[in-house]
Amino acid sequence: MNIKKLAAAITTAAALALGSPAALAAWTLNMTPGITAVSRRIFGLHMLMFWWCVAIGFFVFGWMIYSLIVFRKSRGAMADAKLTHNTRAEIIWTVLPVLILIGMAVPATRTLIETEDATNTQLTIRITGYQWKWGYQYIDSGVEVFSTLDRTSNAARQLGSGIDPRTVPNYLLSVDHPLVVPAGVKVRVLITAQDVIHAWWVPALAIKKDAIPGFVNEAWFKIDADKTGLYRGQCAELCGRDHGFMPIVIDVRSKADFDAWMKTQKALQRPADPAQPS
Amino acid sequence: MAYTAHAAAHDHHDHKPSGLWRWLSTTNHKDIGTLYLIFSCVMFFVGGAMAMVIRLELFKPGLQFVDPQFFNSMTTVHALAMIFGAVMPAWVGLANWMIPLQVGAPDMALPRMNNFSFWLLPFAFTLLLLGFFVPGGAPAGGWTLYPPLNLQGGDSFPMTIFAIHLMGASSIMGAINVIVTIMNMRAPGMSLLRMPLFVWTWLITAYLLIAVMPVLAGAVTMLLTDHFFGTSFFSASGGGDPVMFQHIFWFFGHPEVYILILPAFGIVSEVIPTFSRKPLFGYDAMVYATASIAFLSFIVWAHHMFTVGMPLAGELFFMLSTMLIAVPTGVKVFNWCATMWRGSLSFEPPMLFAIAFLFLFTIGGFSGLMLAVAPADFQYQDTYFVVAHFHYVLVPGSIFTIMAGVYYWLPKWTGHMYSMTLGKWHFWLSAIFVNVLFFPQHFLGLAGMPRRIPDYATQFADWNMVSSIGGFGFGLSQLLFPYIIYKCIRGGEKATSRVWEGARGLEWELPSPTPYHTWEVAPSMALIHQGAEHHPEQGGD
Amino acid sequence: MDDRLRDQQRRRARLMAFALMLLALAIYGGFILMSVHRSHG
Repeated sequence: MNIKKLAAAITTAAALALGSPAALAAWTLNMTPGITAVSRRIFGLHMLMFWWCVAIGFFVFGWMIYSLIVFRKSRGAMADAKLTHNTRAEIIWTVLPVLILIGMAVPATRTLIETEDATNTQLTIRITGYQWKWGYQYIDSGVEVFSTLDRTSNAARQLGSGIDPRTVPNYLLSVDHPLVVPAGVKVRVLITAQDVIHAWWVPALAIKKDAIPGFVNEAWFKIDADKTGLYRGQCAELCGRDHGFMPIVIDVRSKADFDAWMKTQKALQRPADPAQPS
Repeated sequence: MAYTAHAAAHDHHDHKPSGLWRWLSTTNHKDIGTLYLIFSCVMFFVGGAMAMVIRLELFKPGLQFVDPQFFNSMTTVHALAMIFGAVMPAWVGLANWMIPLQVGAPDMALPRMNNFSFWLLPFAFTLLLLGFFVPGGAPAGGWTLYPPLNLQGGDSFPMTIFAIHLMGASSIMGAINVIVTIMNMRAPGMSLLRMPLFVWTWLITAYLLIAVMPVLAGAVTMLLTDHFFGTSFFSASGGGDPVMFQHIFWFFGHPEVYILILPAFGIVSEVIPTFSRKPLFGYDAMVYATASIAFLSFIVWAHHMFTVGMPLAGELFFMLSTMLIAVPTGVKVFNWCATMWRGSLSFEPPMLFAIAFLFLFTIGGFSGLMLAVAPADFQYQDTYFVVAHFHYVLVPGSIFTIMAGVYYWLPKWTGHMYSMTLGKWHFWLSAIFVNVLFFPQHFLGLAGMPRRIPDYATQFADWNMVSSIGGFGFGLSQLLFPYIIYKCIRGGEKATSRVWEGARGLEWELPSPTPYHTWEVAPSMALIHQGAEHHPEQGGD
Repeated sequence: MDDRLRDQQRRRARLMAFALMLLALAIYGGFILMSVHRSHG
């Protein structure tokens, strides 16, 4: 039985123990695998590290607990004051961790190299962070969209608004204009900021990159063709008063739907084009 | 209350001025140690009160109590108060009290500078906390002070910078004092490899402090000139680089993390052997492991910055060097386990806190190892997973060991035993609530909750409520700590000079309470060798 | 004898403290100079 199945089994068991299936979403315990090949690699790496930690913990905590139970003075344990060195043991517990670390470092390095390979992209989007909203510009077509917290969330999040956040759909995680992207296409994003440092993070893509004024960072993703839908994220770098209120929503559409959307946007924005700031 | 508490701490049979002047002008290492510890305790509750505000606002979704800007001030000042006000002064206080006693020196080498370095601190923190009352409010850009955000700060911005300069100057002077005391003032026969581990870890910590506090001072000086004098070190529009600040900051920041934890390793290495009635396992390996951790701390800084867009080679280097830290840290944990192995364990409060450290610091180490893996860190960076990680290494790591140290040496300082029952209550409440408080934050981070946000999406509500309940419980149980200390100062069962059956080392050869002046006549070789039974292969010659 | 020992120790300590203070100042200045260099380069 592989560790992924075991992980799933344990997560399910924990979720069941916590109550009804409805509670499953709320009492979340773990990361989600995401919607790109890279995000799944990263999820796998995360689980690999997790299970290594569990295994090491099993051994170390087992050792501690055994000592705490067996070598109690109250049970008449006598101290062996001569036990102050054991060269063989010390070599083992220096070398063994090194080997385990190598076992972790190899897949980690491979994944890291994969995430940095931003070649052969078919679409480029420039993302700009502002205090406190996101700007998305499709470089090839010039289409530009600004994305701010949607109005219902914004009303509910005011201090003492009296509106129960639970009545607001996707409270703090929905925007007026999401970033529309095509599935099955390798997309490059160029991330920058206007005023202070922000960070663009969509967990489902496993992308988190700082948006830094005066600098341009690059990232890329290729969403599985069948994973259309809405995915949500948030600004991940403290950027001032409303840092918590500039969410990110990506609207993943099929290639055909995306092209159709792009065509209408171009038509809408063309007259204003010359006046658009670059 | 604090004042009467420490005034009563000492009998007035020595020649020293009485009243307030005694404390302002004192050059006695024990008095200064006491001042540091009281200051630390006050700041622990100031920073703790801010943590309570944070957990109160996060108790449920929606903004109920504070404005987002004030919330940001809370997280910022909570961090500064806890790091520079609670943990660091506690270590300096313990160093002041214990290092001269442990190495057989009559006092710190530079007593007047010692007084000065303490009295800078109240001014530094007054300046920092006054920020709440000036236009623009207290600093709210995070304790990491990243530009350009921090340059948007109001009138409190220069006050914060000057406060940090004062704290830095105080720490550098404290560190210099520790180094020159250890290097020069040891009693004849107290060779370096006979020193207790607490002295060793502090020596290494002091070198780290001297190396990196000036770096922080440099970074904040440049922030100041960027804001007021038209330089553009960190502004891209003027040819500078905001990421350069992060590199400089974390070149300070990562060693700083070890400054907060290395003395903890020292305390645990004293407490576990005492209550296992057995010498420390692998003394030499412990010293070398501490030195390796200190060395590695200088070449891992950019693991705090995996998402800034470094070149691949940089990310690889910092990922691999960070993972390497697991090796010396592992050696230390295994050595502590081996010290308990075939020992004769008893569970007084200092030992309980040390054991909790062993378990919970290891959990913090595991999440640290996960965070080291750069691609996975893209998902963890700036989420509650990181918050959980560093609170696991700092609360059950540093704070619990400070408490272990205080409970260990308190009878030596006051001459009275404290209430073991209350101490155990304090321990169990702390140990349970600290996990209720911080363990769910791992889940929140993995589920996608960013840190430093005053309000959150409803799917994070359940674990946040659990975490807040843990927070209130933890905060309330800490009130026991000053109460126990106060009671112990006022009276209680007479402490013997050895205090704990298994205690070894020069400080236990002195009477309890320790006289105002100690080791004016250097301890004899015999006493030093007896203390060095911690590591018999050293004691035999 | 102890007084002489302690006096000697204190003298060496003061010297070493002075050297460490210079080191700290050098690190402070060094980092600022390095940044001056970088931000105009």
